[in-house]
Amino acid sequence: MILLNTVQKKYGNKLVLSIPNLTLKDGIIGIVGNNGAGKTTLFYSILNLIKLNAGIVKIDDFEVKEEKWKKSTGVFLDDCFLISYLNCREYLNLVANLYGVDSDSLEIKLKLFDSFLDSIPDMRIQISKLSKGNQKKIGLVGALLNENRLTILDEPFVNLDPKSQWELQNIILKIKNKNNNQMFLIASHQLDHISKISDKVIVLKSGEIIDSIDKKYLKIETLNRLLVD
Amino acid sequence: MKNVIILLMKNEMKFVLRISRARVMLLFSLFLWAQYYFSSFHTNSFKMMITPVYLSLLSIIHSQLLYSWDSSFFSFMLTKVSREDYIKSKYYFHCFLLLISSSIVIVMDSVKQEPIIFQTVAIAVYLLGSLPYVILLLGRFNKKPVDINKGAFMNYEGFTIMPFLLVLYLLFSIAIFYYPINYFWSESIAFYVFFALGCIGFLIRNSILKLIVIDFNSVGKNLFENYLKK
Repeated sequence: MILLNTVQKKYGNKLVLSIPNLTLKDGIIGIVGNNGAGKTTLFYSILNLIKLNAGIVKIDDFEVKEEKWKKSTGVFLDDCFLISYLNCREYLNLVANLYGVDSDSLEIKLKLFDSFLDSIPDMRIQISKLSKGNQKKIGLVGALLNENRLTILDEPFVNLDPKSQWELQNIILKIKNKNNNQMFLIASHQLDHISKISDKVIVLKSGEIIDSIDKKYLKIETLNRLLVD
Repeated sequence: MKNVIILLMKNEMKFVLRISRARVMLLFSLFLWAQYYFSSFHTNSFKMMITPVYLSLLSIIHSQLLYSWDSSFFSFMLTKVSREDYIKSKYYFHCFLLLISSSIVIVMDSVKQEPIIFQTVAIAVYLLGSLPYVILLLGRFNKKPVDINKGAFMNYEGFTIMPFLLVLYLLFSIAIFYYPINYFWSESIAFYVFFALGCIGFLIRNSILKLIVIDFNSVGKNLFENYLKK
């Protein structure tokens, strides 16, 4: 469970995030909003990467500054989560080792991503030499492989081909269905994907939550209307 | 040492071997060591002012961009690794660089049959017990990100006055102890004092690193926000 209480973040004088109270429970939670709505800043706040002007963020009852979430959280927000001088295999090994997963277990875990990763001809290629799409795939696999309690993804479908987008959607659903107490926070502009996989969607505008829609009321038209208006 | 720290140190080693700028900067030390080898020092006190720089050459050179080296994957580090492990990995990596530099200088002194090997060892131990902390504290002031994919030639991205400050620290911290003790007692006592200070500094590393980690809790966020602006 993630709890945000009176969270505020300003850049200069501009308030970019203002969340009086937000509780996020298990399941797939989509975060949508136009550019500058505060989606990434919300993630940075949850991940304790930025100094908040006010407020507290807790993950599973522990304040994020206590760092207990690190062992059970997978994140991929952008290419700053990739280590470009490592090859794909080394990167995934490093991520797995940081989670305490040994190489045998890693092999088993990677089976889930076989088809998703088949566009990468050789896992010994250095990450910096891969195409944008393949780099993204490696980052996403790094975030998803440990099937963490919490997974945070920012624009996971961008740069992926349609087949990979569909596969990623299935992988996320498979992981979620395997274990009910898992939580995904996924920010995306691709409303079709978000509306298909999310149990709940939060709509952000100018750093504030303007709506929160449960799966049963979730329609792509509603999201479109909220974002365009 | 924790597994995570060893993993991060191995990773930093790969960084040095694969990123041309980091590698070339360290290779520059070979040129400076050659200069040291072929120089003759007329007095012990003069040598004592110069030797610490050569003893810590790799560490001084690599520490110029202490956190900046990681700017392109800083988010990864801050979300996958605890701040304590991150700082400890940096600390031990610099201890490792110091050990390599010191060993090279001590071997050169032995080959040259310099009569002051113990003095060199004492200063090396003193540096081991003090310099990595100074590096970690000064590193917080360099907030410039660097592009690790750029080559080494004429690349000054991210440079600050940090190496100059470190050399000043080396000169002053040695002089503060060496000259008074040498004046009132004897030179050999000065070197025993350096040796003892270094041992104490290394033994109380956990307490000092704890303070640096507390400081890094806010420094890490400042660095992250600065790297975002790039």
